[in-house]
Amino acid sequence: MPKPVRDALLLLLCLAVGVGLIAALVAGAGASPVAVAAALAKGAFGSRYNFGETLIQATPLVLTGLAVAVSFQCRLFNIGAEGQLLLGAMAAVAVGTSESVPPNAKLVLCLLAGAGAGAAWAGIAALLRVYRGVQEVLSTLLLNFVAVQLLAYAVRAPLQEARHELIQSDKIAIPARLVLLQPATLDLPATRLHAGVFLALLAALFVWVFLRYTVGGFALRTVGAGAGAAELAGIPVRQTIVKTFLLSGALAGLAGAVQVCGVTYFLGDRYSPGYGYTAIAVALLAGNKPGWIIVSALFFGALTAGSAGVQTAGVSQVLIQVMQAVVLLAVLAAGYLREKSPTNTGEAVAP
Amino acid sequence: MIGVTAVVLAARNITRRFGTFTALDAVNFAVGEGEIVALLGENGAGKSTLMNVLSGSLAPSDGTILMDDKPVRFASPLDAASRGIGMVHQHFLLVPTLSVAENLLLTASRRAGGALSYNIKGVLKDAQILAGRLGWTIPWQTLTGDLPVGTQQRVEILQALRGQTRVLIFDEPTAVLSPTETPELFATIRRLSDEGRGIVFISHKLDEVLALSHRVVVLRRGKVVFTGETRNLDERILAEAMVGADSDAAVLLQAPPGVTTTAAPESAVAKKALHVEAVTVRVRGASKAGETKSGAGTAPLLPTALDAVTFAVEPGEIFGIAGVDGNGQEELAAVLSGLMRPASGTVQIGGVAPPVNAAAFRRAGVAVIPADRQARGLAMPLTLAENVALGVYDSPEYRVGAVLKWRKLRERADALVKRFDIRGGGVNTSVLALSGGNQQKVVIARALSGSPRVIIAVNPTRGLDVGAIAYVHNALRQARDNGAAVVLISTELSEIQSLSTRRVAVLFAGKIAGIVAPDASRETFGLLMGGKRLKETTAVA
Amino acid sequence: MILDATVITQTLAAATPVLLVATGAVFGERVGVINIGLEGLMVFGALTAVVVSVATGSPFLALLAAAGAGVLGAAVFAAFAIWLKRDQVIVGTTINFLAFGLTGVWYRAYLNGFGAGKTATELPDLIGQGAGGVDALTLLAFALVPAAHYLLFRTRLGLTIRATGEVPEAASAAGTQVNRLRALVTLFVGGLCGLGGAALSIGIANSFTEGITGGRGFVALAVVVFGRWNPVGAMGAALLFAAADVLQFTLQARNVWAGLPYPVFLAVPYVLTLVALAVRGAKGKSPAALGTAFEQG
Repeated sequence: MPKPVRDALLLLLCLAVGVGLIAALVAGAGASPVAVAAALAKGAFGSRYNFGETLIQATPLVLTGLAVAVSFQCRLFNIGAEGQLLLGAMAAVAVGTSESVPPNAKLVLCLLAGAGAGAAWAGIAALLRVYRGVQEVLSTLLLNFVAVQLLAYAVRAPLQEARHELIQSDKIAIPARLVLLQPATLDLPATRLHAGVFLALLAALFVWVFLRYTVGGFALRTVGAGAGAAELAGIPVRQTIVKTFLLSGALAGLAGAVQVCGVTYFLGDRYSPGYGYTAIAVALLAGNKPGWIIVSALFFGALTAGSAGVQTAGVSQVLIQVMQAVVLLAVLAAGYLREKSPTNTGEAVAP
Repeated sequence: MIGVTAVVLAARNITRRFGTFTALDAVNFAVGEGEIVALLGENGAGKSTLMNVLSGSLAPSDGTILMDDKPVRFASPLDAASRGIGMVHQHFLLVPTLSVAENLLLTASRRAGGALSYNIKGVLKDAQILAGRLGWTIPWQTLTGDLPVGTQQRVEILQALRGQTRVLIFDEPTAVLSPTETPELFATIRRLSDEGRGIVFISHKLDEVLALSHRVVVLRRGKVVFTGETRNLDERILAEAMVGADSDAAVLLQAPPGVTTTAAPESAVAKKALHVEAVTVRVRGASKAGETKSGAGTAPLLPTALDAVTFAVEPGEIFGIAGVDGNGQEELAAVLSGLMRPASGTVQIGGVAPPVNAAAFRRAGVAVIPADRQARGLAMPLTLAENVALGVYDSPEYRVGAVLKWRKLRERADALVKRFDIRGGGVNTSVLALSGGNQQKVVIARALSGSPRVIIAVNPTRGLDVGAIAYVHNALRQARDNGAAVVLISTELSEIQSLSTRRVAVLFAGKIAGIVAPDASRETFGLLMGGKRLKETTAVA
Repeated sequence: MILDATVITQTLAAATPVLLVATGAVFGERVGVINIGLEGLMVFGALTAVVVSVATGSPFLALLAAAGAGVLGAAVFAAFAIWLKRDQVIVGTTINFLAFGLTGVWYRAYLNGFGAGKTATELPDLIGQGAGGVDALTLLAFALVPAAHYLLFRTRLGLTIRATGEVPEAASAAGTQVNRLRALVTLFVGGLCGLGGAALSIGIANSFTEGITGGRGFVALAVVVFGRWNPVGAMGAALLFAAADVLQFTLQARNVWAGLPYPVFLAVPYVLTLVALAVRGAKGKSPAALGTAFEQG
């Protein structure tokens, strides 16, 4: 059996075991696993609207998943996509509600501002790592908490709606919004699907080309594979680390901007349902490969969209978080089995 | 000695396989009370495997270990140690951030107390008695990582000597020592043997084996090919036994050094390819352990890693740099590769000093074969094509703007695979899957493919088997013949002597202690490597 | 008047969860294991404590159960990170997801089940009463510090732990089962994390809320770095964090700088932690083998 096929089968097997465990948990909670699965499937794919919701959920996951994958390929643990996404959303709202931005540039500037803000937020972790030796795992996690409070502050003060009543921002101007792809027609009801989904696909294509074909992407992967060898080859390691953080943060920030411009149009407290965290599962399930990230983002998008319907089956939405964990455990277990498998002979093991 | 005393530890028909590879093939081996047995062999001959079996780190696939003629089975190194087998490792198993006393307590036998006890005084008392008997003064409270290598080795010996150790195994113990420290170690070993302990001395250095041992056992490709009493032996016999009479390396090893002193090409007027002027490097900051509690007394040392090092290398010359490890080789290699900016001094390539970064040095014509191929030479999970692309990825020939021409890079890699005879996979194979020798070929292919002006080779044959060593040596000679200036930094004196064209510099404590001809006597080298400046160096500047 | 006895006892109480977890993490990291999942283990402990406290009425049984929950969660970490040798950061992240998810499911079931409308029995104060009180867990947390220091620096076990995190090969050669020791320490740390969670849910408060830990597990990891992998240093750093926490709360409560929205105050401890890491970062030297798997020869 060819190796890629066998690896894929291993992963599917481990996922199947994980899903079996979840089914047991669901059954233990007194619900019918089959009913839950059916409700999930219906919620994700049951109608045109529902499938639109799946794609809407998958869109930010593609972007944040790419953000995490880019950093992982450089062996950097950017676990701060959540915070970077929030910063991106804030920047997009700031630009989108500003009176001084010309209308026809608004959308582009919103998206750029979002990417820029995400990059800047990740840049803090980059500088801490490069100049102060602070592990990015800790700094990005802590920055997530700061970002949450920053958002809470923003919707209470500088970005609060003009009436200053509710704890949320004004809606961004109409020219700043991403086009809806399926507005209501006479025959069909509307979905909320917006042009951001293409943006996500474009981003995946961009990251794929970047990693595979460009000097910068080669530098990034080489630093991830062996910083010592990269250094000897004249690749500026620190600079590559900083650039990788910036790219990663920009992708996550873009996800925040896309959410603002395509789905919510305004900001409230507790803005993200954890796209930045789910991104870690998305990236690892896809083996950090841009093409597969689209697939794994769709998987998690469908889970998220589908879980809206699961409520009716008696099991709550937090099941999705359990699902993330189980998927990750399955990926980890499959990785172990792959390394253990006898055909994977690396070097001779003689000392 | 043999025959007179009782055999303490013996191996009978020991075989050890790793997968399909047989590292040891029906090996018989014995050491008696008070006997010093040298175990000689090339890299990869099976010496370490045999010792790991005898010291309980590895279980044999077949065969028996006997102690006092009774079969035994060691469950672990600790089990072997408790039965009196001690091991002094080549790479010390010491914790640098712990004090000497703490290291000794760590390995003290369980009888020193339970998990919640802390009998450091008792352990220290025993060690002090032992050290006193061996005539050593050891700073017991200093962090081990702050001690000179020779002292660290003594700590390692003290560790191995716990309890009633009957056999002590030394794995390449002189590899890390200076020529002045070596005789002291030999004195220690003789004293331990006089106390009745059996000694196994692993080495590939013929002179040491002849000087120290009572009996020699030679391993080649996992088999015992020779056993003899030392007093009947000489270097020639041992060299032949070690590498086989027909091998290239035997010729290489036995060639009188003078033969290789070929005249430099007729390019005396040619610009020096490499000119190093007064390069000085200081070690930055304190040692890492300086601030943990027990090291309060150790002032941070600020030694000079390189002190006004000056030399020039001509095209077509292999310039050897000899010395014991840790005398500035690492820093010199870093400076010559453009990885480190010296505190003062300059490095010029063809008369121009490139900006200090590895890419600029590479573009100026410097190719590097680094000491650690896994950490510096190769980006391990990447493919062969990607690894050789590392040498040219920024050249306009292989990219359009920011986009790499992978097709062209792969074609180039493919050509290099053929030219450098890299086996074990195609250009899309991860270098992880290649053998050590083939990995080194990838490094060499990358370094030599661009016809570099200057080649910096640092211990280029470390850890390779005989065939791969000959390959690397030939590659370097060829590069020299093509007009490259080669700097060969190596701790293997025989390699330096056989490859260097006409001059060898010896590094000691960051200084060039002297520049001599490659056929200078071993004694001369020994003195220089030990830091004795010669009154009249046979300088060939 | 900001500094008074209440502020001090509040600071001690606020430091308790972070300190318990950080004391554990000092051992975890000293033995060579970095566990990002401590946050999740705290959440496990926090909910378990509330549920058991409501069910039995005994806060001490609740503590025991919380520690058990932490150990159980840590066992999953140990299985994947130590036994299967997967990347510790990724396994830790997974543990967090698992904890957030499972406690989410469980908490909802509990609210709809026997927990409806009930409050947990809080840990009683042993010294003082009410806002100025100090409970058993706080005493335990601070009593553990000298004990941990003694264990780490004055026993063979501590010596072995320190050696294992630096040069596991040396510890192994000295007869240590490296992976077994690492797993055992990981379980022990898990127990302390469970207690740390309980300190939040039945120590400081009397209920569980989602997000109750608020990143304190991550802060504890930063505290370990700032405290130089040393129990006493970690205690100082935990107190610093707690003081910032209490200070921001007090400032809010007393309407100092009333013009500022409260999130500004809430961000203070995290920003402070980041600044502390930045200041100390370059100097800190983590155990050499931290986060690396060990292959028993």
